[in-house]
Amino acid sequence: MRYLLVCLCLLPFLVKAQEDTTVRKKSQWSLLVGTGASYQFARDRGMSSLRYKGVQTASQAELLWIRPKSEHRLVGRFDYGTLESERNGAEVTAYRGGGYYRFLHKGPSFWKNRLHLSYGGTLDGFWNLRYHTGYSNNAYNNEFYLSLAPAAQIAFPFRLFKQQFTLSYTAHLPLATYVVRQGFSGTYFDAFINEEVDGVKGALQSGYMSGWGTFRRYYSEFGLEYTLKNGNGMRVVYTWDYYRLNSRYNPVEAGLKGGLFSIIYQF
Amino acid sequence: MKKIVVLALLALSLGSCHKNLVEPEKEEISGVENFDYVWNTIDQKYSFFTDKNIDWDAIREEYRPKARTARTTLELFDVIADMLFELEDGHVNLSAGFDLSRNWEWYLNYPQNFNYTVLERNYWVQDYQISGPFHNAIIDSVGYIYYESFSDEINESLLNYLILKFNDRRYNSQGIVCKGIIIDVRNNGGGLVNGAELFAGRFADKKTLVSTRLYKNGPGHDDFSKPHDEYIEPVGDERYTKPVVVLTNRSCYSATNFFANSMKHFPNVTLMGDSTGGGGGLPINDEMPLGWRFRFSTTKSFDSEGNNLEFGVAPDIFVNMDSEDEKNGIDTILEEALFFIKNQ
Repeated sequence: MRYLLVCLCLLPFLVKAQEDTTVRKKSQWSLLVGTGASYQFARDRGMSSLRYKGVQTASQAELLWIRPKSEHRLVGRFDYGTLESERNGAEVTAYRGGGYYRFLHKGPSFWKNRLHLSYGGTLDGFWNLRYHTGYSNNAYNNEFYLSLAPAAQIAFPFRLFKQQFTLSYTAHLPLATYVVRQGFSGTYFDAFINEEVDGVKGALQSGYMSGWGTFRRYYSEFGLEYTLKNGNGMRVVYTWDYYRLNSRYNPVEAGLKGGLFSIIYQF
Repeated sequence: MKKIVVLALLALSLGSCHKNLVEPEKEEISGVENFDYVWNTIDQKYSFFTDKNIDWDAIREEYRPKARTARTTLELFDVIADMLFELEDGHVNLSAGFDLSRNWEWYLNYPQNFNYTVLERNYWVQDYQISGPFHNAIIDSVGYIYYESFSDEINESLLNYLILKFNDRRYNSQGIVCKGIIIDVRNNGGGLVNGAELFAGRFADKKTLVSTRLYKNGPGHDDFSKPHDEYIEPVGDERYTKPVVVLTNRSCYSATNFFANSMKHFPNVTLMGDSTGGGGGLPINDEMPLGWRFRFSTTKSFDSEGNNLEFGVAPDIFVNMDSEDEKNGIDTILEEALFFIKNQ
């Protein structure tokens, strides 16, 4: 396993470039595979009044399509770890899976053409499962959110030691979200009653649309990308992700911050 | 326009440096704040206020001043525990490291109708085995199973074995086919409802509607979902449709209560002994700001005739343990069950 990881890290340097230039082609596809860790804070009032926090492992895969005037990014991510209450030491096993499709259109440049602004939108979905190890009938606490959000990015490409780097900051703020939370006083979904609609379909049918007032999320990431001449590279990202469901009953808020190291394979 | 976007991005990036994404609990939380959290949660989510005619607002008026004047955490625990006691529900507890509050009047105020020692010494003799969680024997040509807790996981192959033992002469040392089975769930305080359904499915001849369950779906005391129908379906390779007697007492609670109700709906099954203790609501847990955990019922269930299962399941044949019999090592209820099956 260790050798596999070393090989994966070295692969971008070993793969022979098709073109010895950093000039962007008309259309460029890349695959990014990354791993890292995140720190999650969560308070789910459907489950407890207490805040839970802990370290999680994170893994992510991205498919990136860069065109002369736009960028398309399809991302899948999974976080897993144990959260603990400082108050009573209780533990919650947290699973978080999600992903997004982000479209960015290249906008104006400024500061002597060094800073590049892009803007567009994101379709973002994520699912949380918090398993309270001390509970019985309401141990499994699920939620799912699917959002439409405007997105923007500032990128600052620069050279250092004759190497090409790009520093970027990207954010998106959901304006409309489809919220799926389990029942008012338990872990069932309304559509499950009498199994009118079962499974994932039933859960999704139990949701509702929410605007900025009810569901607020701030998603942002700082990235530093190192690009080789062959187009491959590496990227380090710091993600800061906070959301709050301001429902009158059973509100939930959670924040996640973490780092991710990714290898970029151009193909 | 681009300046606005850049400024917004800068503001967001500064916000990203915020240390605590979700604020921790306050260091000092008053007794009243903790009391209010429990009172409000129960007020919105507890399922039996109307059925038990409980004036929850009056209870708040009575206990909140006591929470305000509680000087120690022990005193606060007692105040909240006393408040929860008023719900008269065995599924309601307050749990701190030093104590677990409870209301066990559902069986303490009634005859026990069970004596483990009498069973162990005088009845669990012939073909007696401990098969996983099941004590089982053949008593006077009648199969007998004692199941102590639905928290003990039920194994499908074990159930197959037990049914074969009583129904196939090759599987017991006496070489007999039993006339019926007695399932003794006295003193079984409950556990996993799924286990109860799995066990009952062995005695079902067809898919049978046994209860309807309503989930609390809003903060009002009468906010419930539409009824969810609960069925028991025939389960497993080996099933038993000959005479069965289920022995119950007031210590049968929760999952055992559901089991007794399910079994009562099958034509070959007779309930005997005392009423079950109840426990017809599925409980959920919550945690107070102080860190203590509490539990309460959030559903209610009714049998197919509309009886509220929170108040127990009545037996088909009431039998109480005779104290003189007990002194002489005789289990009156079990003897009645043996007589009943042998005369079918």
